[in-house]
Amino acid sequence: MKLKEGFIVKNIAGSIVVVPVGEEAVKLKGLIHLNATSAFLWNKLESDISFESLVEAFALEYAIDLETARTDVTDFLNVLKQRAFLTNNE
Amino acid sequence: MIQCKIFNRNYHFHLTHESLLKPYFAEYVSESNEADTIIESVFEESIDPPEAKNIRKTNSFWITEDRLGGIGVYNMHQDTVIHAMTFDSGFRHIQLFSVPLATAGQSAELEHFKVGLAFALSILPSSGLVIHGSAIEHKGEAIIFSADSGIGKSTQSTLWKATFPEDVCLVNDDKPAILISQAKAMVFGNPFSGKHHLDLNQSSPLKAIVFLKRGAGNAIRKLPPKESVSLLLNHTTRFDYGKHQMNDYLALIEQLIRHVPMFELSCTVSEEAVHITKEAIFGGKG
Repeated sequence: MKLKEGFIVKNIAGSIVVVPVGEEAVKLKGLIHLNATSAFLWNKLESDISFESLVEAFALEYAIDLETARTDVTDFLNVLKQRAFLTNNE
Repeated sequence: MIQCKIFNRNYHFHLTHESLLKPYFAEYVSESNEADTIIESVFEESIDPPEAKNIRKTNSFWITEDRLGGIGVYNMHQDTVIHAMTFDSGFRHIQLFSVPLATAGQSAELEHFKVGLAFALSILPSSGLVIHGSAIEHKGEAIIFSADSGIGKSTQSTLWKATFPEDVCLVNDDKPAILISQAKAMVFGNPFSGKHHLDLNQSSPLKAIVFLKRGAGNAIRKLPPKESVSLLLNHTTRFDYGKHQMNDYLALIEQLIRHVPMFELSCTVSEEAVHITKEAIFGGKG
């Protein structure tokens, strides 16, 4: 599982934004604001990672149990899938 | 060819409608034979699609990138090119391709708009941004009113001029350029100032940016960074097609937020809007 190329994540004056570049910029006008937890997941998804590894990393980072982490990660991945931000070869 | 000095940079413009557009550049004409950026604009009945092997295609755009980082952006309607722009990676040589419109006047207007866009991108490597807004100078300091079209940017500038006729002049009524360096921002007039062509060849320190919202009454508030980021990204010209250019642009946005106060003004067309804005920006000292 991995994010498509073509996004830049930047912390601007304490606000974390994702800005599309190239083809993604043509498809998506505007920008996305991330909070700290979604920025953590976004960062992990910039390299190829399995669902379980992502859940474990998330649980460790935020000191939460695996079941809660699995729910949160699934919710975030659903948003990414709806917006077609993930590569197709999962 | 038109030779100009704008934003402290030397430009050579090779335009198709040079005689129609020349008056707008008159204030900026210079003698320099050296160009920091060359902008060429041609009109052709049909524009050739790109021949590069590596074309990234979406429904409405084809994007090419060469080995040196040069980028071509082709605006497509089905398989026909309707506009195209090509850039080298440093925006030193920009070529614009357009299809003629019904009259020479309309084509010239399109050309002026596209050259303005090319100018906006060309200043990015020199720490410059162009913002959609109306810029005034008040006692040597600039204020920019920014908003979507039709909200009343020019109206605010006109109100300031009417309220303080001795202290205010209009620097650029549509697309002022901002230089961001050494913890401060300067506003530059330029010849791309919208349909009324109201601009002055001068520069002054940027005191504040005021984003306008139509309101039932008059109210002003200072914007937190998060809201400023969204507004600035919506209202400044950015180059969406290259990663390093986008990184440079975002770094400038960050600098701008750090060093220039941003406000949101909900307003009616009234002198009261001018006074509360002046109070918010200058306190009692204006």
